Amino acid sequence: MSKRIITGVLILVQIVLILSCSTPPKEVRVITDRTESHLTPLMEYYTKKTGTKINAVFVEKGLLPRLEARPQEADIVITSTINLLETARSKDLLQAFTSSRLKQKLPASFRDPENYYFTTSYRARAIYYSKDRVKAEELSTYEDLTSPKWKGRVCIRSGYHEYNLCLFSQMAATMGFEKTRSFVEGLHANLALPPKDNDRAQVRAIYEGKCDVAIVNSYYMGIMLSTEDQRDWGLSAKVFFPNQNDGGTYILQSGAALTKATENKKEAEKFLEFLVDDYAQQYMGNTLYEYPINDKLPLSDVNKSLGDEQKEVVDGKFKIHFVPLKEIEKYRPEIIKVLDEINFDNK
Amino acid sequence: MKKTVYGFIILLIFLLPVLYIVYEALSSSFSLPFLNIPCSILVSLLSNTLLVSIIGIFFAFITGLGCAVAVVYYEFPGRSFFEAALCLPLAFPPYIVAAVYKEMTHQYYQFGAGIENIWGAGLIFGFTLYPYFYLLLKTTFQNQSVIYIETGKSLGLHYRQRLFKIIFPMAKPAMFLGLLLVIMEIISDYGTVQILGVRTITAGIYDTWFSMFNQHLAAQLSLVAYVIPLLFLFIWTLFSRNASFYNPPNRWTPVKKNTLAAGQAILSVCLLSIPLLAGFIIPFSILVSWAIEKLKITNTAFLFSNLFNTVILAFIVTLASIIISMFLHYLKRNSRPHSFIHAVCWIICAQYAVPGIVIGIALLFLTSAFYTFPGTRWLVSSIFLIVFACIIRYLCFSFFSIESGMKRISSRLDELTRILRKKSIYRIMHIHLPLLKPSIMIGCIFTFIIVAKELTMSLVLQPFHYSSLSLRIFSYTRIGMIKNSALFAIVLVLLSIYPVFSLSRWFNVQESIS
Ligand SMILES: [Fe+2]
Repeated sequence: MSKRIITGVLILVQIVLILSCSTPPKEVRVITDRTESHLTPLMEYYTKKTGTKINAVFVEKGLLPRLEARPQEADIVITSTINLLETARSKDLLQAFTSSRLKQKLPASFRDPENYYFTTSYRARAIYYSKDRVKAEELSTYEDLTSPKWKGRVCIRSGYHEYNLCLFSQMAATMGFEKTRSFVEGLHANLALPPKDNDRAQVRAIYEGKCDVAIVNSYYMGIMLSTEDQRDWGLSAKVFFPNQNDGGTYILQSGAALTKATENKKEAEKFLEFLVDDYAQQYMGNTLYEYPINDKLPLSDVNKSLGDEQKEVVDGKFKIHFVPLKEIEKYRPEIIKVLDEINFDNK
Repeated sequence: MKKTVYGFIILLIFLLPVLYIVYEALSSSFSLPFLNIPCSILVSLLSNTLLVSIIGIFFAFITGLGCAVAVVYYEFPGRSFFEAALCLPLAFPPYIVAAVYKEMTHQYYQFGAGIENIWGAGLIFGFTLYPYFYLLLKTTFQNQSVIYIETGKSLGLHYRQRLFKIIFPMAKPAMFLGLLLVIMEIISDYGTVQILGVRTITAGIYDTWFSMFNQHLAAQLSLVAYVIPLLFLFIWTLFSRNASFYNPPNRWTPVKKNTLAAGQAILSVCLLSIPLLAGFIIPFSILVSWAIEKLKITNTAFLFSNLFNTVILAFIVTLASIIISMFLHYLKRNSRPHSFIHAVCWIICAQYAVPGIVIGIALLFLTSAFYTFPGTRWLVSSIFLIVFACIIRYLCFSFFSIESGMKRISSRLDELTRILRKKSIYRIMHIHLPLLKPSIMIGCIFTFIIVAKELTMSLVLQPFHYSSLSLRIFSYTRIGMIKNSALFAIVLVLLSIYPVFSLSRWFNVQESIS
């Protein structure tokens, strides 16, 4: 009896060992906070084409702490908010890439001057508004969402989410901390619902009539329209690019970088090069509805139609407000302090 | 002496996460904790946590008590079906139930006020966690010596007086243990409150650690989350000193059941159906309808690998927990009460009070060194860490289950084998194991279903290229596409249905042994 148990345990240990240790010769390990179903097709395509296996772990939250706890775990970091990579660099977790192809393909505005990270694609942190209840003329800027006419009509996800931290920090870098503070307070005062759930849920709330405007990323329009159960949500709203007459709309950039600890730099850089190639760029543009960094590539049809009620926006091309990434990260602690003080998520 | 060493080593291993958290909490500065966090945040996190807990406990308690009283003291058509079926909500992870009801209220949003608030969360916890109260109370009621009740009768106590003066006071320890289990589940929960948008203390820990990158503050919050249930646990130990939980009578006689009249029987069947419907049948049927709707676009390629990962994880943890629990019991069995070993066992079981997220994060940081040792890398790149985390947190289930069996084995039996000069391994294998079988089975079932549902620690500790049923379901739920993972959820529930159904039977077998 006891022998049988011991043999059983040994066999199990063996199974686990085999499962975990059998590593194929060529492999790149990726740690990412991007959505699994969005990135997987791209990785599978790469494996099919080159034979290099992409081994990924999808951590929705806590990308940076995990990287900090286990710096040797991955070769590449891919994130949906590039400012995290600036923090990672300051914590000495990244190394500069040397691939000349990468340097040549990347426009200067989408590349760290010291080549520690680069942008793979970007999207606008836009305003969605109800087709029925709001006219495009009523909207103008982010700051306008704090005016009394929007009282009880605005929706947004948790203030602590990277998307919002990044938006608020960019505002702070642009117009100063005090003005941003009153913006965050004003926004909070105008909220229709306590901040919760994800971006799509905010558009759903517009569809359900619970709010009239919401701060949501631009690519969710394309994604919702192409997702069976979410089509109606997308159809109930339109996308507005704020501040087109005033500095431009803030964007969120997806980024990629090499980890400092990688022992696999050559293979890893090849995958990074693939990310800025036309195939991957078009995938991010047409399937994920983001904006490719190469502005010669055509936009997806959905993205072309975004902002069609704004005369400043032609064929979906909007004015971007660029903020240096170092500036963005500088304000993170103070923004969080404000969110804490007004208890942003708990209306 | 040897025992003390063993005990000390095991204790150290189990305490690793908490020690790490204490270290992080204290290492920032020697200023008072929480000075960095505005009072309003702390107050709202704590009050949300307490409110959800109180509402959840209230519903779970009322439901569990009502069901247990009906099933033990009365006879009505379908009684034995209900006795087993009322455990079924245990097969459902609360976060799936929450996601299902949330999606439903959204689809009929014009009618409902929604459940995305403290009340909704409390209600969901009530309907999914009441089986803890139900099982514990049912066992206690069945255990109560008929003699007490008969004595009560002969003293001329009314039925209601007997209920409040004899039966309920004797069930107090069971009630308290149920309360502990439920409160620990609620405080540690991440998925359900996340889905319902209720910010409890786990959300606070997550945000401070993962958005503010302030591990010291997060660690301080973690300690608060750990201390709340510990306080309850402490009160319980004080409380249960003079009332032992299992006091099996010398001769076990089944409780006499009153047969209900037709009208009352119909009423009780209706009432008993409510928790069964709300906690199991309704969410399960909704999932089935979604699974059929989405069958064509469901990616079944992942299904088998995810199922395999879930089963392997639950299986390894269950096996290991039973072995460790048995070992602890044999260290404990021959030692004096209030000895070091007893304290070790108590502390190890108290690790259930550490929220899953805290154990996850602590292990994540503690094991980073394993990457640099060449031979140990597999430890951190496999499911080993999740297994380890689950054993730490859920050992109490196998430990307590086996304990209830151990108490039934009279020490005279041990002495007998000692006189016969049999080796202790003989004693374990040939005398104890057969007697312990029902308790071990109960421990196995509890551990298995709890680990199969586990989400938070897997979320933090998942290795590369890994997914399980619960991880897959949660990742779909996060992007508002729970319908596409309905098939995965059904498989996860089906996996636990048979074990849950047989729980009641094993409890009855356990009773009849003594
Ligand atoms: Fe996103």
